[in-house]
Amino acid sequence: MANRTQRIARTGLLAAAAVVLFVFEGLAPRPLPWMKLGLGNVPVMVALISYGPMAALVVSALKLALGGLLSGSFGNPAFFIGAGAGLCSWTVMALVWSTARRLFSVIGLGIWGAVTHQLAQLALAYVYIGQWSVLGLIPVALLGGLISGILIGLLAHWVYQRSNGLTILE
Amino acid sequence: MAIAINRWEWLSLLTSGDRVLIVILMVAIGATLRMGMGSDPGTRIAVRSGAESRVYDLGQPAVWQVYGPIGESEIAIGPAGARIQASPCLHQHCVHRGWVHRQGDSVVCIPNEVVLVVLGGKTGIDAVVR
Repeated sequence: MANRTQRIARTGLLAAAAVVLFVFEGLAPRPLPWMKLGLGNVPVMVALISYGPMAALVVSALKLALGGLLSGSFGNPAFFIGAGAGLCSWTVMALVWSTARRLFSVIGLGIWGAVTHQLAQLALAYVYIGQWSVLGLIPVALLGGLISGILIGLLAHWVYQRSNGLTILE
Repeated sequence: MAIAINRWEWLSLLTSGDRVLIVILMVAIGATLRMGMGSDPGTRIAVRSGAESRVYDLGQPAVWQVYGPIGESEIAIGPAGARIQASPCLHQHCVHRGWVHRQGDSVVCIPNEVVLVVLGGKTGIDAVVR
């Protein structure tokens, strides 16, 4: 039972961290609207590799809902595009983690998540705008997903390794 | 316990699956880049604001306003193409997009629901869609 309580508490902590990172990153200036590193995905990935897909979904959903409310974007098109992409990203990462965990490292998992996020974002933007021209951004999306996926995966790997030695809350 | 940020040490974390994934992505980036390149300069610009969509000739400089849910966006056609030069939106991403002139290029302002897309083809007075 203590284990279960600990898991819930840590999932909550990860969700809190995800919300803070998400909002913080939203405030930072960036050259293009979708050029975000996706720092909020680090806690989602840590939840996934520590406690499995359901915990990751909780962290991701709380991040999107609370982050959206705090940043004032809740309910607008950009929010739906981001939330849809976040859920697609979670689905793919959960699938990869559940079925091909031995094949990929945390970095590989991060790449899967980031590339899915980017492509889903483009697909949803296409649905909203209805113009083929967004598809011209595919190379940018793939490159952005690759780079941010490697960085986010590496961060998640480090956080996971260090949090294993963490005795807080035990 | 120090984190080793030893330039390339992270490479040793990569599994063969990761490496294959990275190579496939790089090939995909190259292939999609090649497909997207070489688009020709456009001749017309489609301007969509809400439900209304009209096509203008890129050869004739002009500045005008369209109205969206949050206010007035100013669109300009000049020698460098077309752009949104003023917008009531918060982040001004559409304004910072600058001039577009290649076929398929676009400027999108989601908050004010304004979309510009560069088209090719003949110019002329009958070029009005929807």
